[in-house]
Amino acid sequence: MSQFFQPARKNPFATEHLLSIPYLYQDTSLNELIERFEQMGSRAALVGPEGHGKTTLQETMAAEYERRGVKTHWIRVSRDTPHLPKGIFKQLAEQTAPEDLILFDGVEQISRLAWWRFRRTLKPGQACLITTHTPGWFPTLHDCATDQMLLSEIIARLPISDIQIDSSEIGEIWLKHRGDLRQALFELYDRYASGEFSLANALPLSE
Amino acid sequence: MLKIEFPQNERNYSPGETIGVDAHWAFDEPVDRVELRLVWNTVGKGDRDLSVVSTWSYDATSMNGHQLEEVTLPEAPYSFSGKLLSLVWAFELIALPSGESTREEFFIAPNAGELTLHKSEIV
Repeated sequence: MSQFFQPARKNPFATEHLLSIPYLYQDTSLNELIERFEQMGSRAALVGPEGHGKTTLQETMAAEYERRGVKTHWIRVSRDTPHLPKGIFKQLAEQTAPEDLILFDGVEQISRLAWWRFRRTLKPGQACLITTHTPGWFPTLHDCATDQMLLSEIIARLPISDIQIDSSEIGEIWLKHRGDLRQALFELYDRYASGEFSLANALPLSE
Repeated sequence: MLKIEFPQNERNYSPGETIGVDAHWAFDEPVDRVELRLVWNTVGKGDRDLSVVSTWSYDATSMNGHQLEEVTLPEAPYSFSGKLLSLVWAFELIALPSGESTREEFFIAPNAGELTLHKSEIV
């Protein structure tokens, strides 16, 4: 019986390949979003469920501001680490300038009291872009959504030469994960690793 | 143009082995400096780890140049691959401040190759 082994470094769905794909805008552009962000007083939210590209878009906007010479400060909170970092309010007060941009990823994880303290710590005029699963924290700058076409476009940009995934299969995976592209791409990683797709250049290990 | 060459034309090395690495560069415009970095990183599903083990920095006074380095490779970690994770060793050559770069991967492991973490199926 033939058994195939595909090393992780050859898996086209590996994180390093996914990270090399820029944020794919569907109905807007980076300049449009930045213009709107500034029109909103530079305090706004990117809203959407998990795996819908909020953090990727936030990182893309942060990189653009850094390119323009703006200093950025990150706060990241997740389901695994749902608390604000120790001393964060002191750091924000002492180590940020009014012209800096504060980026807060995962606001919905903190309590309303912590949110209130965070908002009070922001300096007048200081820009702040947050991500959240639910609206209502800051005005919504952009609702992050995905569709089957977006997943197809991401797959098309990966270094895949040895397999073909038809569009109906992509649609099924997208639906199964309710539009969560992270989980959809994890499933594709696992299916590739287990040889579920036809692997033209997999390494035969034993017979 | 940035290029890394292994003079012995070999990619499989033993831990602690001393090897030659040739870094070449040619630019149309001056750069501040060029850095050769010995790094390892993980590739696979989930977060990516990266470690810069050694750095050699060259002031790029000339827009064309090359530097041959004699490098003693670390004893660990070994290059390995499983289905979920690979550990990959590489030399990276980077022009600063532009960030233009190139990378050449190689293996460090006993018996000069990559360790494979694979559970054999008993039939």
